[in-house]
Amino acid sequence: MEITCKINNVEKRLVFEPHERLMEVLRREGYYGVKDGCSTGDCGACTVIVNGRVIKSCLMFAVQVRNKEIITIEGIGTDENPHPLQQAFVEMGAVQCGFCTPGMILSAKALLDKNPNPTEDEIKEAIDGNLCRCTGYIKIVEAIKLAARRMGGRRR
Amino acid sequence: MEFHYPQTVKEAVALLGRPSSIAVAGGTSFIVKPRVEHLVDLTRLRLNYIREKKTEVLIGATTTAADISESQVLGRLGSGILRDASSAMADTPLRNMITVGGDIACRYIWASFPPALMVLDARLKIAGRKEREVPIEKFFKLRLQPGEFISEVVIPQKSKKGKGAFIKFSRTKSEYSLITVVVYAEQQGKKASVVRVAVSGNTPPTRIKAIEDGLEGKVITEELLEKTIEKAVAQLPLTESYIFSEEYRRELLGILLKRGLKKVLMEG
Repeated sequence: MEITCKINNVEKRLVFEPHERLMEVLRREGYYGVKDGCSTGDCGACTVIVNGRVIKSCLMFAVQVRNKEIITIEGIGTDENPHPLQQAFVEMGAVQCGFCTPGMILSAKALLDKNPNPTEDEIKEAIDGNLCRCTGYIKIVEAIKLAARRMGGRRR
Repeated sequence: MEFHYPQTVKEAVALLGRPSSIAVAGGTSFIVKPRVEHLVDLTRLRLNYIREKKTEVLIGATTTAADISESQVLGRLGSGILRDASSAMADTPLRNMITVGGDIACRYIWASFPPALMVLDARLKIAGRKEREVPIEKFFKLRLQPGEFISEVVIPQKSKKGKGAFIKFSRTKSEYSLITVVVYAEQQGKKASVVRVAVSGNTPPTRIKAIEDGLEGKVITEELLEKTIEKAVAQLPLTESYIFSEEYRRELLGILLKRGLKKVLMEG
């Protein structure tokens, strides 16, 4: 089976078996920021953005993203030029083991893209699909607030 | 195994009419069965819409729970119980994937949309070699024929007149519902003129006619509510649960029904 899609703004041709899940295929293609946590749609570590909406890539067939646009954590910033959310997570201590972080940041990005000035409740709702077993969420919520302030309510 | 991307409802019907075919919409509750040979994508049939017509609101079957939870049109039907049903469901990324048609077609006992649609008197449009329309309650008593799939949910605009309440009980917000109670009612003067009650979680989605008949046309008092609910709940067969005792669930069901009915019939 072969499809084309856009991953992090790059046109891609993906080859896989029809039953393979998006998470498996993305990891095989080298996007290791897509974490394999529970594989059952509970933990959110495999979260990616498809056509502007966050989804859990362990519950989506790779075939479903034909001609769609995918954003993974690899696509939003680099070591030299991190996304404001990544910078805020580092500064606020919102990262401990780091396993939930890519999914958390992508959920936050999808929120800020749509709603640049979210309330605390809106932030909590946006990350309700991402489990973190280290931080207790408080620093994560604070980091998202900080990033929103720094981005000045602008879409980015 | 092969994956197909039909572009029209007609093509999808033909593809699904073949043996060992199965439809895929959001894909969240999909389990690959060894005998399935053809997966048929339903998300490219342009069935993602919420349309307000004169007498009905139409929801395309592949409209996601996220789209429904953000819809202003649906917010006006029965105090927005469909919006509440979608917000109560799973979590943000899953709501972006779950479709209204899939939530119904999978016939899960914990599904949120079926009881909410039941009290709104919704009908389902079923695509197939011959298109048909069935009330949502009937859907749970019939089997789809090869080639058939839910293509649209049809809700009468009349449901704008009344008030509604949606209550989901689960241990954490995103968990499967243990009990869901949905109530819709219209009042005329001091009397309840229309009462519709549906539950799921504890039972497959079902209307509770005993409560509806016991309250319609009456002036609602707390005493009447309690008596009617108690009698109806005692008679309702509950599905087995290995987590919660039947006594507990029966008690809880009565309490949630009372909360929902009180909110709709006795407050403001």
